Amino acid sequence: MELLCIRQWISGLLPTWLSAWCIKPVGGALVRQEPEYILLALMGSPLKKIMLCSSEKEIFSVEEQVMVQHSVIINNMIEDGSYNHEESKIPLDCVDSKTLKKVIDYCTHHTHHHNDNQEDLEAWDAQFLNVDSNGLYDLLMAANYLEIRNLLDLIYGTIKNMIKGKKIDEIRRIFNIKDHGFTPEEEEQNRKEYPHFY
Amino acid sequence: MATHSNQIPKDLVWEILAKLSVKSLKRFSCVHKSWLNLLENSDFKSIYYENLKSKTAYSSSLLLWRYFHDERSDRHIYENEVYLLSGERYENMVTLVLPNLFEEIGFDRIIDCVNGIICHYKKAGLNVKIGLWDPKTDEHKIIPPSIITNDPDFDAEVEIHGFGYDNVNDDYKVIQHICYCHNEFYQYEPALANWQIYSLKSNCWKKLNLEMTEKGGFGEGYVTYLNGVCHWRGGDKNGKEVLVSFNLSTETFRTTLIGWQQSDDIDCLTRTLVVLNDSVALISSFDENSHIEISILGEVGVKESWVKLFTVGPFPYIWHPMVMGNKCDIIFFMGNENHELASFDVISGKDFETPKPTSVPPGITEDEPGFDRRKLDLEMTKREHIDNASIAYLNGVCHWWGSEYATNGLEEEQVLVSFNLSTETFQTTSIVWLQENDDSPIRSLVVLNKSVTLIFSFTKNNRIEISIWVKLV
Repeated sequence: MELLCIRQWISGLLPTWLSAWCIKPVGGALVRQEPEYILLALMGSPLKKIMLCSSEKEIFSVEEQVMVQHSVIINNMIEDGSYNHEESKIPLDCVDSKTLKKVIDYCTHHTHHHNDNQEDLEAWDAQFLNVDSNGLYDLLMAANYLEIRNLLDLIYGTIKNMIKGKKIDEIRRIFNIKDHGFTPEEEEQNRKEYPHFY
Repeated sequence: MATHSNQIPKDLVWEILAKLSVKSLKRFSCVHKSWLNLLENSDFKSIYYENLKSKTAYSSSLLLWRYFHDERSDRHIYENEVYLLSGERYENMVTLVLPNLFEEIGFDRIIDCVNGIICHYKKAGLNVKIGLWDPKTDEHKIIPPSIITNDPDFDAEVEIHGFGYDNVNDDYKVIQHICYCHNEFYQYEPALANWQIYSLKSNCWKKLNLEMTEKGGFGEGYVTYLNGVCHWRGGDKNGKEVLVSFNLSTETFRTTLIGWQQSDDIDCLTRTLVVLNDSVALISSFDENSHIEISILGEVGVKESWVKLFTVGPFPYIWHPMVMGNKCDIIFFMGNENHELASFDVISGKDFETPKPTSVPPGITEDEPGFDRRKLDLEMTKREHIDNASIAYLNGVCHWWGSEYATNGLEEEQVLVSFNLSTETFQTTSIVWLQENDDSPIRSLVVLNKSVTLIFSFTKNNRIEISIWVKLV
C-alpha cells in the first residue's frame, strides 16, 4: 500500500481523541504529526484497560488513559510501575461501587468530550452533580482520595453555592456539625449580636 | 451530608471556605469555633490567597495617573502624567494626553476611569471644567456647568467626589460638592453648601438633598468606584475617618467607620482607596518603616468587617499613587530619582521579605533581546534642556551640550560633551563665542556636513548664526 493510503487507513482506525493528539505545536504553528508514528509509540496502550476494585469488591474496567488523565493517584501508580497490567487491579477501599461508577462516568465523559463547548460541559456537570447530600459527600471523598482536581473544584463550587447566604443552623446541618465548639455563653452572645445570621 | 455520619475533613472544609468572600467568611465564623478568625491562621491564609489570585480578574489594561513635582526642571512645574498599562507584566506603557478643557494654566486631574471612560477635570482658581473622555474613540464631552448660586460675596468651590457607571439606568454619573466661601472673611457658609449629581443621559446637574462627609483630600487615593457605587473617604464631624459609599442608581449613601486600634498610626500614615477582588480595600502605608497594610471591607456599613489581609514590606522607598494591578499586586512609583514604576506581588511578598519589584522604566521593555543597562562611572555635564535640540549623533559619538561652572567657580560656561559609544569615554569642549551676555540665543545642536554644528538664533535682532565645529579639542 502506498504511504498515503496507509496513513489514511491508520487515521481511520484511531478514535477521535487520539487523532487530536496528533497535532502538536511546532514553532508556533499547529502541525499534524504523522499518526503512524504516534501509533507505533503508543503500541497498544491507548485502548488499554485497567481494573478498579471498589470497597464492595466489585471490579470496574476502564480505559487506562481516561483515569490517568484525571486521577493523580492512579497516574502515579501506573507510572511508577506498581500496577501490573496483566493481572493486577487497583483496590480502592474507600470508594463504594455506586460512587466509583459515578467517578468513572465523570472521567470518561470529560476525556471523550473535552472538545465540547463550555456550555454543554457545564450542563452535563450540573446534571452529574444532581445527587442527594450523601452522594455528594461520597463523591467529594472519592475525588479527594483519587486526587481528581477538576471534579474536586466542581464539587467545592457546588457546596459553596449551597451555603451562600444560608443561616448558621442550615450550614451546620449541611456540614453535619453536631458540636459547634462554642460555650453556651458564647453561642448565646453570637445569637444576640447577629440575630439575622440565625 | 445531612444524614451522613461522617463529617467533611477540615482541609476540605477550608478549601470550600477559601472560595468565599470576606463578608461570608465573617458571617460563617459563627458556625463553628474553629471557623472563627480563620484569616488569622497562616495556613488558611495561603489557601485563601491562592484563590484570590486566581479569582482576580484580568482586565485588559490599567490606567495609572500621577501628579508630581518634576525635580529635574528648575521651574516649579507640576507634571500630570497619565499612563495606560497593558500586558502580562505591564510591559506596554502608553502615555495618554488628556484633551484640553480650557486654555488657562491650571491643575489637570483625573477622578476615575470606569469602563474605559476617563473623567478628568481642570481647575484654575474658581474656574472648573469637567470632561469625560474615551481614549479609544477619542470622544470627549465637556460637562455643562454646575448649579451655582450667584452671590457676589461668596466664591463657589467645586470638589468632584466621584465618577461611575449606574448599571441600573445605564448612565454615567458624576458627584460633586459645592461649598461657598466668603471672599472677604474666608469663612465657609455651610447653609449654601450642597451636593450635586450629573447624569450623562439627562446632561444636567441635579441638587441632592443629602448630608455626606466630604472627601479628606484632593490627591489620589481618596476616591474609588466599584459596581455602581462611588466610594470616598474623609473625616466626619467628630474627626473620625469614614468611608462614604454612594449608590449611583438609588442616589443614597452609607457610611462606614474606618477604625483601627493602632494609636500611633496617625502621623506616618498615607492611605489609598482601591478595589481588590470585588471589594473596597484600603492600602495604608506607614512611612516610618515603609510597611504596607491592605485591609478589605467585607460589608459596606459594617465597621467590624474590615479585615487586614496583607502586611507587606519593608520597602526601601515608596511613593504614591498606588494602584491595584490585575494579579493581586500593587503598582506604585518608586520614590527614586527616575520615578520608576514597580509592581509588587502582594501574595508572595507577604512574609516580610525584601520585595523584588519588577521595575518597568517607562518606554523600555525588559523583554528586548540583548537589552542591558549598566551604570557608567563618569561625571559628565547634564544636558541643558530636555528637548531634542540639545542632542545630536554623529559617527558613533553622541553629543549634547550643557552648562557647568567654570574652574574659577564664578561663571557658567557652555560645554559640549561628546560621548564615544564604543569606548564609553567622553570629551568636553567649551563653547566659546563672543557676544554680549544679555543676548539670549536659542541654540540647537545638529549635524551639518558630517560635523557637529550649533545653530544660534538670536531673539534680539532675529539673526541666525551657524557655527561648525571642525576639530574637537
